[in-house]
Amino acid sequence: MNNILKSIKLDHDITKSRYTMFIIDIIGVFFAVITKIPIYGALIIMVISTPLAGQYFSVYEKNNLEKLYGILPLRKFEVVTGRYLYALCIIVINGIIAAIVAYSVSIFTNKAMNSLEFLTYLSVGFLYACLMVAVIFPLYFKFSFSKVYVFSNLPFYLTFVILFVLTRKTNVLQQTGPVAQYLSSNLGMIAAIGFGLGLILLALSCLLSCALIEGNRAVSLPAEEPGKRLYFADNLRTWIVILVVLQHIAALYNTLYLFMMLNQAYFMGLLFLLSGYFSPASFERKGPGTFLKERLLRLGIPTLVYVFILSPIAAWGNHQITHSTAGINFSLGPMWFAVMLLVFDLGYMAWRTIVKNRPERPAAANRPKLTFPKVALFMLALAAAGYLMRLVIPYGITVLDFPSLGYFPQYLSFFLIGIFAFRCEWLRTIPGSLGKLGFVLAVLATVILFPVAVFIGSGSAFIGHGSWQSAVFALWDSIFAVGMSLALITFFRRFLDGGKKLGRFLSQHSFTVYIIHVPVIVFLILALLGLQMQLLLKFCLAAVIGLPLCFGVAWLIRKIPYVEKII
Amino acid sequence: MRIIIANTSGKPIYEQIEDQIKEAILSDELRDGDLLPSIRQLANELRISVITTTRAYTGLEQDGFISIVQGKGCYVLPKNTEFVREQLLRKVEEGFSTAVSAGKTAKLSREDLKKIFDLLLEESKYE
Amino acid sequence: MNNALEVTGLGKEYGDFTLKDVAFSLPKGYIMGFVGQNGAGKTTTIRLILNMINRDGGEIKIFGLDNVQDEQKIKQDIAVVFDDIYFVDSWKVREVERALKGFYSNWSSKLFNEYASSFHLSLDKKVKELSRGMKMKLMLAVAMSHEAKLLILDEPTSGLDPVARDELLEILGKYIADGQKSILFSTHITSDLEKIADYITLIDHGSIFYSGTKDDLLEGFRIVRGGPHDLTDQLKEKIIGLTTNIAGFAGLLPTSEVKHLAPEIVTETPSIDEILVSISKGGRSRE
Repeated sequence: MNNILKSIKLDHDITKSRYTMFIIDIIGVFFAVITKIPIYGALIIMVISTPLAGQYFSVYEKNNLEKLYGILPLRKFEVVTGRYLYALCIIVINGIIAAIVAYSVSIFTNKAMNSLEFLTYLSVGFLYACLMVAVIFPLYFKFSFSKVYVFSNLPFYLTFVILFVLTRKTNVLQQTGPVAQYLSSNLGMIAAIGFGLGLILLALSCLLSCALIEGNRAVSLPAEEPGKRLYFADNLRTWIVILVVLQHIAALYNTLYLFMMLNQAYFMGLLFLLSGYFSPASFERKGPGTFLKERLLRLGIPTLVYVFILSPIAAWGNHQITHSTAGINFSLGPMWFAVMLLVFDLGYMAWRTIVKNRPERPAAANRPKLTFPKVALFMLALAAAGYLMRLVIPYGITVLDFPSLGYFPQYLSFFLIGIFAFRCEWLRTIPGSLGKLGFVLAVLATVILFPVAVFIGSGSAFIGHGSWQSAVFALWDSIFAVGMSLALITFFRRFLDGGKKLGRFLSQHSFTVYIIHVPVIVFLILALLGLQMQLLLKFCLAAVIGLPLCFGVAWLIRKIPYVEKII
Repeated sequence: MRIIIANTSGKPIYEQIEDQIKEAILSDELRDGDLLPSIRQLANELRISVITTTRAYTGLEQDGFISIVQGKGCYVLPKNTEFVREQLLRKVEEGFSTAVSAGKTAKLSREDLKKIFDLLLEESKYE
Repeated sequence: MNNALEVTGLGKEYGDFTLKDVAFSLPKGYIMGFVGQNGAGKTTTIRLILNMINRDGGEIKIFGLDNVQDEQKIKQDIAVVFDDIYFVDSWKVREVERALKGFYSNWSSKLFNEYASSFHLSLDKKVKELSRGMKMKLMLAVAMSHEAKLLILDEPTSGLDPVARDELLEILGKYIADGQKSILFSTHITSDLEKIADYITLIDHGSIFYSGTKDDLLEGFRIVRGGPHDLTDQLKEKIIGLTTNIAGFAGLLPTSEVKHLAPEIVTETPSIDEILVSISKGGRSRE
């Protein structure tokens, strides 16, 4: 933290020779006085913040400062974060100047200015300035200032001018229907959104720049012993199982649709990836016969138990909740995953028995590396596959008790990627920067593509049948799935890799929890039925009680003799 | 203490240093118990590598001329009389063999040679 | 921890240039000269040591710590002088100190001022007003003001006159006198190193030709010269950087081979320069 402050001070020391540039704020003053509308001046001053903050990069390039930074005891992310905070300071300072100018001009021209309205316009200016910084700074980090500053700054100025002229001439704001009506009567909220969104953009851009600056560092875990257990992979699986439980609670309460859709897009795929990762080693260790037997035991028996014992119990509980009167029915429930995984594993076994030669794990230098172009290519291919799959089996339609066959291409491909990842040691070696990039892409895709697919046109066009919305949706969920997987893998690897006791307990029981959680939460919800509470609160309560409850029940079950051998 | 390095003499620098310090000790310029400059000091003064001076001093220590004490410095040891005597005997021998081969070339007789020797002993008041 | 710097198996690939299997160690308290012709890979290696670029393989340990994992801790005790100044040119000398001192826990303003005055650096002069030699001294003053245990110099003397170069060597000699600090001195002006370097690492076209004590290097090779008839085929095989003309031939030979030579062939101790030139003409890798 201290170092970040030092980095900011250094930025100031470096840029201070160019502070005379603050003079260009005069343009804003000029404009405000001429048009007698102080707000315009404020807006212009805000937009000017970016070139001011960008001056740093000009000085940097001119003075070979990369060497200075190569020497100083600063970590790269501290430098980048400091830079963004410094830019934020400049923007804030300009905001204050803008406010002073605006108020002075309003006093000067005797035109009273609505404070709330001013704050709103200021927040828009802030947002625009943050947007400029968010887009331009990564370019500055990656390329040299002089090559990039013209064509990266110019579009923003042009856009600003155009928008400005448009809004003045046509009073567009008054005319865009209910959304605009709502907005214009909730100025405070706009201001909050403007400032908040601006900060979020800066944070995302900061993450992106960190990733860009780190480049393709060949990462290996501190003690790269081939036999070391990948605790972070276990912890990641635990996390996904927890999400599954939360997902089903939300489903039973019919709430948090967005959360459910987001989860759905990636978490089962990631589970397939992790399973695929561990299959080859298991196969090689045990040989085909034992592998087959073990898989049938571990996946088949729990499925049978669920279908014939647990699912009727859960169904009965469900009937009590919804007061429906259907008869006893068996269903696969969450064990569809076990069935599909069993099929995949059998397929893998068949492949290995047919292709007799033992594929050697390539030496470190020859392993194909996972680079961003390959990832991007895969995202596109997966999106295409998903789109085609959903021509036939749309999103959300259950087929043969498999609730999400629309995601089948993802499940299969992620399983295969898991196998590749094992061969090429990707889990251990993908650079942290790739994870950050993945996260940024996932967020951007969600913010841009998801609303487009889901909210434009008829509400359900995105589920399939060949509509363009379903293509955009398929693109969104591929980017989101791959991006979140990369991000979670690198995140867990960096922060959650220790084999702590709690982590190990949870991961040992996570598969059992997966099997038994449905009846447990059904009965929990049944028990809570009487409570009068806001739905969201009820969900939180159920989650807080339900998760430990599931793990507790799982622990009890594993205490039964022989059960531990299977799961 | 006088140490002069001849850069182009062809003789390795560490040898030059060793020889010059040996000379100084043998000729009593440096006496028993005298403190020599440290290895690093000497290297710095002469503008040469520390490794070279280390090598010179180690050689001198091995031959029994100096002792390197950790933390204190490098001291001149009392002249190892046996060793010195040997060195000097060797010098006498060398001097004699030069004289003998010169005498052969000039075709001097044994008597003439011995006469020159006695004369020299007289002149230098040899006891 | 005896080595200030330990590099093993270092590799880095660019499109047109590859650094391969670079390995050398600098023991604490000594000066290592890092020599090679322009483009041989010296600056790339130094950038890799400083983690300014990512390596493709190998290990770099400074003070026994990994240069990437413990980058921040290590850099408290490293100082670097480049051939080009890396401060903002509008800064005054005193502003340079103010900007940097907050980053180093061992910074001594007193030391800095002492160095500045002994180097005749005026505190109020702007960086852009300093001469080339003064710029180098400024970098040096900064480098030496935080008790850096490893000083890395990347071509610090290019563009300096012999007087300035000599001054630099004197300053470095004093810096290293307590035996606790080490210096890595990369240069292609080898006469500077002939005198004060303890160790030499010779790099040629991205690989290490030699790494060891300077004395061993100079004793390990001989320049041989002879008439055209003395150049046997056997000799041609072994000689490095052979040049021939009507009067005869010359080249570099490992000292162990010299005893096989005919007595008419002249041998002499090479300078580091001559070794460098010979190996770049047609070097095989040795040791």
